[in-house]
Amino acid sequence: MSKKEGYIVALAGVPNSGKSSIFNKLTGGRAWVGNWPGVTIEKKIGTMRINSIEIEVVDLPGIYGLTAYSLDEIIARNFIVEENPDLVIVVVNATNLERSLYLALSILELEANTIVALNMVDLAEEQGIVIDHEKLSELLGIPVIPTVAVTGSGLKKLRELILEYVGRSKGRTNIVDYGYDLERAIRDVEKILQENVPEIIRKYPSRWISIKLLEWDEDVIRKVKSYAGGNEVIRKVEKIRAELQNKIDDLELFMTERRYQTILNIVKEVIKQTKAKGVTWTDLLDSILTHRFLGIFSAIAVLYMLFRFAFEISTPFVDLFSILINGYLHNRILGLKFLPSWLASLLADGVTNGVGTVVSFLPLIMMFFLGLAFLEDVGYMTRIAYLVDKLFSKFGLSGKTVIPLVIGFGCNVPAVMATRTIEDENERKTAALIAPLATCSARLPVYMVIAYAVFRQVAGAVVLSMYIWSVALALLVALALRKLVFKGPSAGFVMEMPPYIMPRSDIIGMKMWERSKRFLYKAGSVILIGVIFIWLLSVTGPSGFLGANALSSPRLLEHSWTGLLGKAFSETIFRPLNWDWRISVALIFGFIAKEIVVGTMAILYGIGESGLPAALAKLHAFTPVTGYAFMIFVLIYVPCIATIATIRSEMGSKYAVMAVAYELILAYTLALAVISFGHLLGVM
Amino acid sequence: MSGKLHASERLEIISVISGFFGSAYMILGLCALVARTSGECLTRITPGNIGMSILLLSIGAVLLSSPTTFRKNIILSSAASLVGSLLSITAMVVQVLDVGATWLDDIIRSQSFGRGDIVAGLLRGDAFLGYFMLLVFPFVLKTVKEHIIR
Ligand SMILES: Nc1nc2c(ncn2[C@@H]2O[C@H](COP(=O)(O)OP(=O)(O)OP(=O)(O)O)[C@@H](O)[C@H]2O)c(=O)[nH]1
Ligand SMILES: [Mg+2]
Repeated sequence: MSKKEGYIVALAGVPNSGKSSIFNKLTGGRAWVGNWPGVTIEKKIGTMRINSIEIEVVDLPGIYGLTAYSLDEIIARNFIVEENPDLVIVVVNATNLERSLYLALSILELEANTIVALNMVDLAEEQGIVIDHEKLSELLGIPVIPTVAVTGSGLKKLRELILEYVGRSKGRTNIVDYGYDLERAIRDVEKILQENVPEIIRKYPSRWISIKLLEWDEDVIRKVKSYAGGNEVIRKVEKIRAELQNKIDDLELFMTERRYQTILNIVKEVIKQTKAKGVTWTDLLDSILTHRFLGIFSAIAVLYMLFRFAFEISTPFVDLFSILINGYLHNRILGLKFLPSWLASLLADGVTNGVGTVVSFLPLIMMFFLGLAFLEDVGYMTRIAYLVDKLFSKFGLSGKTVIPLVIGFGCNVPAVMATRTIEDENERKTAALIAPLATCSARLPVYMVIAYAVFRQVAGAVVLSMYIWSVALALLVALALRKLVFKGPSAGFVMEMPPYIMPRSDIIGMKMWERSKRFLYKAGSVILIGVIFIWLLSVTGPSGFLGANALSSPRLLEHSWTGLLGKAFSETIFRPLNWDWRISVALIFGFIAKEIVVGTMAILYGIGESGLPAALAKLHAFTPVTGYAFMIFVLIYVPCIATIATIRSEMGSKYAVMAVAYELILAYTLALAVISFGHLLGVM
Repeated sequence: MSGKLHASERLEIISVISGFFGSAYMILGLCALVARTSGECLTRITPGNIGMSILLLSIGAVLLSSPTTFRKNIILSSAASLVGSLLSITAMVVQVLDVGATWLDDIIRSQSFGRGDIVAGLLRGDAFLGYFMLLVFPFVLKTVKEHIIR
């Protein structure tokens, strides 16, 4: 090692090989992991310290080779090719050596300084695959270290190797022999490069550029053309290709085959299959879980049980929180005689009621996240994607879209970003625009409050129906978008099915906690500020300060700023929907974050001893029809500000505006339809 | 005793057991539907509940496919026993947890809770059948592990 600081180490590998798990172990970071290909969709940087030396480690999205198709793959490819990291750790999936080696060879051809982490050797062993890593190291000409990322086994050795190898320069490796004719052509192109564009071969290895040009790699052609003299090079390469094609029909195919031949030779030497290949647990489970009919039945059972697990089992804890916060804490604050009445009202009626009502749903949200993390890690997500692919393709979507939708049940922001893995541009944009229809956890408190206030006995079914609406609307909107805006054929469904693994409690716990933390953080920031603001607008009006008791006096409250604002809406555009003015206020502020809807209602309606639903029920704030219309409206209308910002940064302002517009129109129309339908049936 | 049986006999036993329980799930699933819409149907163990009905029918379908596919596809058949029993055990656990949660909730809100409610909850169809599946599960797992995996 020559210099001591500023080293950058990149983690590359095929999707789902355990890059992020290794990253977490090396840096102590919290990169998102999950048992499906395409979890990481953005590069993530962390720092690793060894013997007081700091090394930057970059976790990358998974790639199969150095030719990128989807947005996440482009990020990884560009980093490896353009940023020239001081060391590339290729994370190889030991259960699928062939696939991983293709990438390893591509990176070696790029003449990057590389070492291999042979990961998931535990899973390989279970399948009776034993890999001679020393032999593999010898054949590849680089160090290979077996690891088990989840337990940390082999990681110490990996650190030592990183320290030893980082910053070394790597010479050329002709690890793949392309045969006499092609090798000669490669040399010819190298010479042409040297003569015409010497600058480019200072930046990239000339053999690599030559190979890629002969393979007619669009990206490298573009690179070469950007240099003076580049066009000349391309013309000459075209001639060489034409000559070669007299002997070899399909040049690209031939080159790929040569690589696979090399891989096959390596694999033959290093793999020992100790047990006869047979039916694995994964095969066995999949024969039911991906079965045309039985797979669907199983999925229904699994999802229904998950729903019950989160919603029913969290009830006592939600009630306990609610009693402690909205009952006990609220009354204690009001009982503090030394506080001026306005401050007591702010703290009790504003902050405690507003934020507290939202926070009291924490147990529910945590249970939900627990279930979600389990689904993600056990490996079931790709099976759901596979099952619904046929159905989804009728709506112009790939089965892969299920993954953003399911993630969206947690939060829409990562859902929009997860669409990056969808290769087809039109399918991806459609998926990103429907992602906000996935009913996120922020909407849950609203459903719970209304369902328990109005529907009691059938509250669970009513909340469940929101999930069904959510998916149905997403599909219908997708169909419309694909027919009208993002036209084009559907790409097929290709997705590797990872083996099922028993989720580890530490990883599941970490994921549940990370997501819950975000919820709490939001409650302590955006929502807190929001409810203080609403309190302020509720105790003041055009005539000034209305007094701390404004909130408990409907007459006074109607003359506050919120009263005037709410009425302005409820008497105009919301008039057909028959909602109380307080609801209008809640919806307006819900633009910021949907949790604020509940917070606002808690402030404006006040909470009795037995919680917000009981208070709403007592005031007859909703009928079943207006209540259901309200839930539908909250489900659909505008994603929160954070989601809008994400759509904007991923796709541009035009699409952000489009998302907001279609959702407002759809929400209004459907809520109105529910109300009209109720009228028709005579149940108002 | 089972040691004397041939692999195919053992596999046949688990598929017959699955078939038996599959039918039971189906019957209770239909009952739950009937109880919901019209009248009574084994009312003690199947309160009218669409969700529960769908759950019972789904589990029943998976379990029933074990004997029906036994001759054609032994792998599918044993997978059906395995997945079916896993689903039914999970359903039982969820129901038992739910009974506990309801009980806890009644305490927290200092409402009276009846012993009758707990018993009814624990005897509900999805829990009730799950206890039996829990008993046969070790045998299913062992048989599948020994005779199918590899
Ligand atoms: N048994 C076992 N599981 C592992 C090992 N390494 C990772 N996993 C699990 O495999 C899954 C994938 O791990 P990730 O770290 O998310 O993989 P990745 O390469 O970052 O995946 P992408 O970001 O999708 O490309 C997770 O469920 C991990 O818990 C290992 O060595 N052994
Ligand atoms: Mg990753």
